[in-house]
Amino acid sequence: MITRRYDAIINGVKHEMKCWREWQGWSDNVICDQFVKDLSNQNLDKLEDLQWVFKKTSGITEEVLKDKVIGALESTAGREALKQVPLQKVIEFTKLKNLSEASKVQTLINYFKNVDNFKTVFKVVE
Amino acid sequence: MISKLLATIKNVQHYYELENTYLLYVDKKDNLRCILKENFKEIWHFENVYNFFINKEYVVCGVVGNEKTILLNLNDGTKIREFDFDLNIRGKRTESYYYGSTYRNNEPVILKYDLNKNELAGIFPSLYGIGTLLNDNYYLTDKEGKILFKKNIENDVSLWHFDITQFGPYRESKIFANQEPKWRQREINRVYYHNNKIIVTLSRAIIALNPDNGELLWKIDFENYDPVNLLFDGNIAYSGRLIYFAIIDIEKGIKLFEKDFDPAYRFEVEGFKLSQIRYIGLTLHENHLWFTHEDKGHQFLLKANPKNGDIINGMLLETKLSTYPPLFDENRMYLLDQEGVLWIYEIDGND
Repeated sequence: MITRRYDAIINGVKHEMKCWREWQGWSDNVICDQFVKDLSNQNLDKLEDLQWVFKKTSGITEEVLKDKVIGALESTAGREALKQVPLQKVIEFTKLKNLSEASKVQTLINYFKNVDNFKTVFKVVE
Repeated sequence: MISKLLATIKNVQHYYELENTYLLYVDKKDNLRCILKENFKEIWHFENVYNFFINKEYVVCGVVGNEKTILLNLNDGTKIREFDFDLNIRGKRTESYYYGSTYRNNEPVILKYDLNKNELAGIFPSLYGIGTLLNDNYYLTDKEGKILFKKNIENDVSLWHFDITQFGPYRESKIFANQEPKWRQREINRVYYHNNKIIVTLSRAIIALNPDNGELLWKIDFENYDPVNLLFDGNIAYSGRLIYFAIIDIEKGIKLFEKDFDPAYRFEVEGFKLSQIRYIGLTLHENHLWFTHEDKGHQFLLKANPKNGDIINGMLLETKLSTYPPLFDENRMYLLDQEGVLWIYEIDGND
């Protein structure tokens, strides 16, 4: 069993800090495991309460990060992991009411494809 | 404070239900399992179920992979009927009907299921689905968290709408020293119907609306935090959100108590000094608030004074994962964690 410990909790909001020079082979696994586990956290009332903060480097920019994260979520492993996010959480995050177990994974992926929604969680800072 | 761990049930898929005699859950291999609460012995199981709800002496189940709903006998798990629709068993219910918001032939619809006759009672168009059910005629829903609508169940016609953007944007809290906080549009967090009022939590405020005409009855502003979930107790509502805690009077529309973060506060539980207490998933039981709290990779059960949120007592839990809110039933407490282990405790008579 792997528990999640965060780098910082500021005003009760969990912050996961990353300083990656570039997207590596194992980076997809971090998204499929850690990030999806965070989405399933029962203590996460709103997505704003989860902050993944990346230091801007030559290999990690806002555009690269979004492409890579969405790519990881869309992979077979990502889709399988997203099945573990409770339907009720997906309804709360996306504010869509007519979702089912069958539609929740693609709905979550589509939700994060929207750049504003993506930036709610993922930040790239100088 | 909770005396004894009685049992653990593993591989629970997000959800379980209790009734007088039985505990039902779907395991991670899509088996609906019915066990005796008394001794945790399995009575029956049924394969290929993705979700369910108990309806008196029956269980209504959604079947994995095909758009079917089945009706089982609660006592022995035998199949009674099969329906050619997927009810989407995350719906809303009144005493007589269950309403599932779903898609049928690629059109968004509400399926109305008669809980007394155990049959489909109607299929109605619904662009957004049911957010909050008012009764068997009307429901509330919102468009992208900005506009709240009261709608007629049978024809999707709006009776009124309330646009929360009229309250203007709000400024985010400052987190990074080198970045000014941004202005954001407010959004609806949760919508409740309680004591004949519509209570809406949104960014930086809680509002109450008249269900007949959508008129704003009152608005309570919060400077530092966004209320999300409310726990009602008569005319009182508790709002726990991250490190903030507030109590409001929903009849008068006033804030009765507000607790902000105290950086000096520490509460010791079994040798762990807890700080930044996060008031999430509050449950009211025997005049106290209960919730679980994670700190330093551990989970704690906390018991708080409902008048001020002060922690009275706490206990280190066996699970190290976040949990659903505790559920109290007779002399037991049920805690389901994020990886699907249901922890069942016996409550000490002194609590």
